[in-house]
This record gives sequence, C-alpha cells and structure tokens, in this order.
Amino acid sequence: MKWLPVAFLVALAVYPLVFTQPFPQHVVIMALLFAALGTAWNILGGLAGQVSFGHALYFGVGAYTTAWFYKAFGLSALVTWPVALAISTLAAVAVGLPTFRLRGHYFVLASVFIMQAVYIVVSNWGALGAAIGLELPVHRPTGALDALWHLQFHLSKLPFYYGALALFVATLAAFEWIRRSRLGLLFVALREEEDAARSLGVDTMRHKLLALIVSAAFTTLCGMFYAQYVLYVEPVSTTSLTISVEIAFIAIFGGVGLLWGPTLGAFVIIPLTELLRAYLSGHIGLGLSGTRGSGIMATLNYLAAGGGGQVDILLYGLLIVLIARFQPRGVLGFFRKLD
Amino acid sequence: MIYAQVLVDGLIVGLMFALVAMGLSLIYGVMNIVNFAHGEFMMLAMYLCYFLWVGLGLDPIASAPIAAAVMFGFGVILYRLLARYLLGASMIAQMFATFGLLLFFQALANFLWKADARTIGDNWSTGLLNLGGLYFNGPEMVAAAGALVTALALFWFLNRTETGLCLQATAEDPQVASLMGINTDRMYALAWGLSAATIGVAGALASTYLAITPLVGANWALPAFVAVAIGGFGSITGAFWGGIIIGLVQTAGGFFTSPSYKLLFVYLLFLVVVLVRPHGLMGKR
Repeated sequence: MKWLPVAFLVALAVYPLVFTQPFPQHVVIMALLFAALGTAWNILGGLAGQVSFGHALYFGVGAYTTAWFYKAFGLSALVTWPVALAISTLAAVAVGLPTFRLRGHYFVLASVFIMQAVYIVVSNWGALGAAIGLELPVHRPTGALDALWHLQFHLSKLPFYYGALALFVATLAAFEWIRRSRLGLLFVALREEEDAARSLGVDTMRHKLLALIVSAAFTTLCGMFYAQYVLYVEPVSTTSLTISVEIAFIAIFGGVGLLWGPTLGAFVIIPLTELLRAYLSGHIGLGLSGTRGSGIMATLNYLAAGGGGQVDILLYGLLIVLIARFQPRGVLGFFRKLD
Repeated sequence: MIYAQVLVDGLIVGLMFALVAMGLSLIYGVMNIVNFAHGEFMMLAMYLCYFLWVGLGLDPIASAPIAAAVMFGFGVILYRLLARYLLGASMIAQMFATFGLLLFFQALANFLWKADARTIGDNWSTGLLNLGGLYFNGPEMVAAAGALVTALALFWFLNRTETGLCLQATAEDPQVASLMGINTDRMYALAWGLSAATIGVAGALASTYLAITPLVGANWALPAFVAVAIGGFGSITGAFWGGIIIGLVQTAGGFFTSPSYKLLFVYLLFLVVVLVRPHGLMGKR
C-alpha cells in the first residue's frame, strides 16, 4: 500500500494536463483546498484531540486580510502573508487561552459561540464590507511577473491548481512531520490522557496553544488562497459556523487523526457537492437535463426546477447523520478494522 | 421608563428562551447529548401551525396542543431511528449527528417551502397594550404566558408524577435506575418526545409574531445553549432561569448598541460564565 500515496500525488500532478476544461480543474482545486483545511484541522483536532467548530475564524482571517490589503493599498498577498499569520496567531492565542481550560462539550460549544460572535462582528463591520463583503479588484496582467505580483491569472486555472497542490502537500507534510516528532507524541498524550500527561509535567496549555497556532496558520494560508482564487470574500462562505463544521466534518469523515483521513473526506465530499450543485443549477447536463420522462434523474430535474433548491445541503446533512450513526470512527477507521 | 420597558421586553423574550432551553436541557440531562437541531424542531412546528392556519383556519395558539402532540411523536421517532444509537458513541459523533440533522431540516424546509418568509398575520391577540406607560405587544405577551404555563406544567410533570421522577432518576444514574426496574430506553424516548413537544409549543406560540423561514429556529436554539450552560448543563430549573437571563441580556444589549449586535452579548456571556463558573449557576458537579 506504500505506493498508493505516491501514485495519488502523481495523478494529482498530471490531472490538469489531462482534464483541461475549467470545471473539472475547479472541482479538484476546491477538493485540494478543503483537503488542506481538513489536514490543518487534524493537527489540532486529530493529534491534540481538541475538537474545534470554529476554524472558519482563521480561514476568514486569511481571506479578509488578503482582500482588504489588496483592495485598500493594492498590496499583493505575496507581501501581506506575514500580517495574516500574525493576526491568526494573535487570534489563536486569544481563543485558546480561555477555552483550553474547558473540556468536552464546553470546549466545543465555546468554539461555536466564538465563531458566532465573530460572524456577527464581521457581518456588521463596515470596513470589511459588512454582510456584502469585499470584492478584490480584477486586474488585467501586463505580463507574467505582473500576474504573479497580483496573483491574478484569468487565462488558465493551472497556476491556481498547482498553488492549491503545493498548499495541500505542505500541510500534509507539516502534519506528518509533527506526528512523528516528539511534539506529536506530546499532542497524542494530551488527547489520550490529559490528566496523566499533566501529572508527568507536560505543560498542557502550552502544547494545546502550539497545536492551535500551527493549525490556524495553515488554515489562514488556505483562506488567503481562497480569496485570491474567488476574488470575493463575504461572511457566509468564510467566517460562518457552517464552514467551520464542513472543515471539521471533512477531517472526521475519513477518520480523525489519520494522515490521509481529511484528504479522503475532501475528495469524496467536495466533488459530490460541487457536481450536484452544478448539475442542479443546470450548468452541467449529464445528458439527462430537460427530459420529462421517468427515473431518478428526471425526478431530480423536476424537483430542482420546482423546489426551493439546496438539495446539495440536504444530502450533505443526511450524509453527516448517516456517517455519525453507522461509521462514527470515520471511513478510514472502517478500512482499518478490515486489516 | 425606557429602562423599565427594556426590562419588560427582556422578560417576555426570556420566558420563550426559557421554554426552548428547558427542552434542550432535558435531552442533555438525560442523555448527555447536545442537540444542535433543537431550533429546527421549532421551525418545523412553526410551519405546521402555519399550514394548519392556512389550510384549516386553526388559530396558532389553539394548534399548540396539536404541535406538541405531533412533535412528541417526531421526537420519539428520531430517538428510535437515530438518537438511541448515539448513546455509546463518541462526543464528536453525537455532535455531528445532530448538526447533520440541523443542516438536513433547514435544507428540507428550503426545498419544500422555499426561503420566502411567511407570516400568519393578525389574530385575536394582535395589538399593543399600554399599561401605565409600558407597552406590551399582544402576541408576544400571549407567547410569554403560554411559555410560562408550559414550563410550569413540565416542572409539575418532572417533580410530581412517578414517570417524571423515573425520568429524573435515569438522568441521575441510568445504571442504578435500570436496576430499580426503570426501562431506561423508554425514558430516553420520553425525554426526546418531551423535548420536541416543548419546542413544538414554543414554535406554535412564536408563529403568531415571527416571520417563518427555514432559518428561523437557528436564532433561538444557539442562544438557548447559552441559557443551558448558564443554568448548568442538565439542570431544568437552571435552564429556565438561564433563559430569562438570556432574554434580558439580549434585549438590553440590543437596546444599548444596535439590534444586529444583540446576540453577540449572549455568546460572550457564555464565555464569561463557563470561565467563572464552569458548571453553571445550578449545575450539579
């Protein structure tokens, strides 16, 4: 099975050269982005065992920092990333110091409420465009260097594709490096037996904070990538509870704490929802749209035209419930049992 | 006078929050499960009352018992199909299951009834009452009174009937309760049924004055979690008082800053409370 990760990475590298259409490339870019987000979440949630439903906060820090500096001063994300990481670290410490004293439900709920509080502030903050959000001005690059400075590529998705791939591989490498280091062992000790770890002299607060800061930093970088890719940042798709839960769910779907768990989750869930959304909104036909005959596809077509939409979220919610009900240890946990 | 008005408004909203929080606390106290979909139960009850009013001309207040009965059955079915399998599962699995339900019911409502806001319009309680310079909005006052009556009925049931005491015994220690001959599985089902029934009543009461949308429940259930945490997880009495406090904080916060910030203070209050008194005002541990 050792060749499988290598084969997967090679396939990812070759994929956009084979599938040259924008939509198939977009789906994998989003899958890579969410795989990176899930892996970053996994550093805190999987290794250190601190389940956060508030990671969209750091995603939002990255997205809004990028958008605001570019819009206000024309500064590229290439130079504003240290600012974003500084804000993200400050936010992580501000969130972690009080909440890491809590355990179980209290910690998770605290992350939920901090997320909600941030959402309320951001969606009322005039400088950040309030509920409408910020649009990054579209720039027509004069050359390759100019395009790189503005990080705007309109002719091809390839720069974004390989950017997302690099972000994904970097996050994956960071996760594996931490997991194998002494730090990773301390994180696992925190997760498994916090009191025992503490009694052996492990500074639990310091290590939880460290796990959060690293996890938040990669999440912030993902947010920066997202803003640059979509060129539009608003609260619902960046700093909301739904995004937070999606990040956590993607990590948990594959199996918490496992290196490839979030990747599996992202590559199942993101294509599923993206395809369904595109199909239901009529952007792709699957050769069946418009038919009024019988069958599941025709029924779906009919419902999509007549119903109020959101079938993708409907199925997504159902999927979460079913996984939690039948496979609470995640899909990779299931495969592990078979070994 | 304006402060007295804020106080009155806060209490009126607070009584509704109290009812919502008691339902949440019931499931948490008995099964240790955080039900994120609680607000969506309320939303479903509101649509039920709306359609009873449109279809049969039933007054929403009169359909409150119907909503309670239907939602009771709904709660029991959800327990049988889903919640009972979550008992031994990890906290993460439990939270995802109920959050998945939240997304599912919100999307289902969106799909079936679209995102357009529906309102029930005027009924017998419509109007503004002026009592010595304090204004009372008719439907909200009726809702608060109904919430208080329902809360008292729940207290009576839990503390004065044998079944209610069995439920409390199960919450205290399921193993000992089962040794005493209590069918804990039935008690869990009852807790889900009662929780859904109380939120069903809350939905019926709120349907007379709130615009009904697929997202209407979310602004009730999340603050109600704060009420449950303030009161101490699992304490029904604590949840009641927590709800009152939430109502006051939300109204006062909205009054002194801007209505769009009113929930911010509620969420910040959660952090303050769990840090100062991690087990709430009336928590057991």
